[in-house]
Amino acid sequence: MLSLAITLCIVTGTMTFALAGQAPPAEYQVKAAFVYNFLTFVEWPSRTLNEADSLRVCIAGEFPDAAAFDELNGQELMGRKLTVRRMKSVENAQGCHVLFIGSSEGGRLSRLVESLKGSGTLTIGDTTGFAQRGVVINLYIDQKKVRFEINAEAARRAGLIISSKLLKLAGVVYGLAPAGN
Amino acid sequence: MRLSQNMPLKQRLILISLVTTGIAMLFAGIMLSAAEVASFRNSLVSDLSVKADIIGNQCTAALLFNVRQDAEEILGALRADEHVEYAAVYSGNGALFATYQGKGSEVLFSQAPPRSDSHHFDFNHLHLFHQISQHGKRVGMVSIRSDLRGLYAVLLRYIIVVGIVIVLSLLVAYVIVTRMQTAITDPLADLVHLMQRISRDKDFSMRASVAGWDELASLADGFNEMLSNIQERDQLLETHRRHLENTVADLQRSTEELQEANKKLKALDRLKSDFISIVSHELRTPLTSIKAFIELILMKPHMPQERKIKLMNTINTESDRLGRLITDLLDLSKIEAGKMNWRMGKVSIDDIVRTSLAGIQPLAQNKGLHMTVNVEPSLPRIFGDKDRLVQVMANILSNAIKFTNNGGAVHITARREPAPQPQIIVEISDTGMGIPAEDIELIFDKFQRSGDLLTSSIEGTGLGLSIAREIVEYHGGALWATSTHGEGSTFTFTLPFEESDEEQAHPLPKSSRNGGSSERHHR
Repeated sequence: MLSLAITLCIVTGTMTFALAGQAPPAEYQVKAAFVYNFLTFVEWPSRTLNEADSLRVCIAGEFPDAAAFDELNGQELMGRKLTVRRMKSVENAQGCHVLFIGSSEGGRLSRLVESLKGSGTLTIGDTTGFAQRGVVINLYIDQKKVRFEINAEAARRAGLIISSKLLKLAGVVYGLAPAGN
Repeated sequence: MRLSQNMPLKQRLILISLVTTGIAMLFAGIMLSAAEVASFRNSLVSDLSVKADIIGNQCTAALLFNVRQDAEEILGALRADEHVEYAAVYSGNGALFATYQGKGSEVLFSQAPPRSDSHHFDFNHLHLFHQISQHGKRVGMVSIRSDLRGLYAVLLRYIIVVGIVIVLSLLVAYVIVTRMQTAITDPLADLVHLMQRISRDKDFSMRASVAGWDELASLADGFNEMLSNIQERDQLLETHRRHLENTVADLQRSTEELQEANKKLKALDRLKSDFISIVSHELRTPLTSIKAFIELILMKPHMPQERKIKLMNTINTESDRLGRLITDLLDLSKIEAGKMNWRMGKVSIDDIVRTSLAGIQPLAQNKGLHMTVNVEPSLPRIFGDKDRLVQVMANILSNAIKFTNNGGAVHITARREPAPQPQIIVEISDTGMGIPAEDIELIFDKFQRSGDLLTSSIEGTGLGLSIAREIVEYHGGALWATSTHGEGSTFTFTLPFEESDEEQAHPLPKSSRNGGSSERHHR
């Protein structure tokens, strides 16, 4: 676990918000940074994200270190403010631009995915198999490094456009139908 | 640049044109090359900037999600550009993230990148740094190093092109200038040629041909005007020179005349003093003997009678001689002073000859001389003083008799010569001792006798021939002598007459000769 922390230290060096002066970043601090970085490679449909809106980031479910996400609150991204909201469950996740789903919500995932169709919500998870089940981006650990996988079909259904750069970096991409489908 | 003083104008013009063209072309070439190099550098920078921007943009995700392999893949795209030797991506905190190394390049970048976009050239490379940002946030840096082979290739190409252009320009300029310089050098050469011809021939009437209104034409104009001025001046000088020559010649002539007159005057003066001293001597000689004889008689009153008579006779002779001398002197001075009392009238030559012969005959008979007279018949009478002309004849005859030895002959002829001037020529020849050639004119001088006779005992005043010549010349004739020394002398004198006198000579009887043409005048 120590070596992971060292690797993360290098990774967070590329992050644009300051973590300086704190203890070596924990796993969720890296994940929070990943979330922030994801936002720069995703385009929301304009009907769900007005010019003046702040970008609402919802953290739903149980996490070992949910407080790490609080760091994102108030950060600026492309002239918008981030507002981070924590919720027990995904039940009332309507109106979130970004929804980080904890593994505790696995049972309600299918319904949730169905309900968010076309809602313009970027769903992110960190549980094995979530991507296959319709979450747009799913984080995982590979060789002590945080990696991610993308369900392109889910992003399309949600009305989101994901930068090809991000797709290129993804460990696995699901649902990339052949052209013409 | 210094042009050689000895270089012909033609070459100077060509040299100036070529140097000007060469410098202009070289300058233009350098400026164009510099501009081209600058432009190429700019395009190199912007080209590399674009590449860096693309790469940086491609690398944002790799940087943000820490995927080094992806960044290296992206950098690998630079392989398409052979000039890129090295490239690197740095993370946001300046740490080296990914590198690319081109073929044959081994130098590694180790320095920390600057915090902003920049580039710099060194001798062989262009170093470019480009910031990578994602949505306005700096996420890293791209650094690319490119070689400058392209730039040097362009520069080399430009130098070659400029060199070719300069050489071609110089060739074209040379051809054009060689053709066009004749417009300047030909008129000048013409002028120079003309000047040389004028200097050689001294012919200032030549003129340069003037064509056009440019400076060369002005030069030719000026030259022509100068020639005109020189010509005018020459003519003026020539006129002055002739005038001066004439003046000088006049002056010389008058000087010569004056000198001649002066010489004559001096000679005359000397003659006069000589004359006076000679006259004094001549007068003194008889006077001395007269006085000596008289003193002898007075000292010896009892000398025999016949001796006394002999002395008295001598005194008488000397007195006569003195008287004749004085008479001759008086005659001569009268003639020379123009105060002689001439008794002019019609005179017959025959008459003159006979009268003079009558007076001289006894002398000739004494010496046993053979006298012949040959006077051409019907000679016209002349206008003159008979007594004086008789005196001339007598003088010459007495001389002839005097200087002819016993048994000799004296011959007198008188004849007429109608041309060129009608005149009567009288010749008196003797068979005497003759006169040396150097004395032939001397005998006509006063108190002169021929050479070795000067001291002889032959009597004579020495004035006879002088007086004779004066008289003949008064009558418009001439008197001269010719002689062969030792064989005899011939004295000739001429007396002019007019044809009209001849007509009257025949019909008129001898008695009426004084009534005829006494109104005629000689001289």
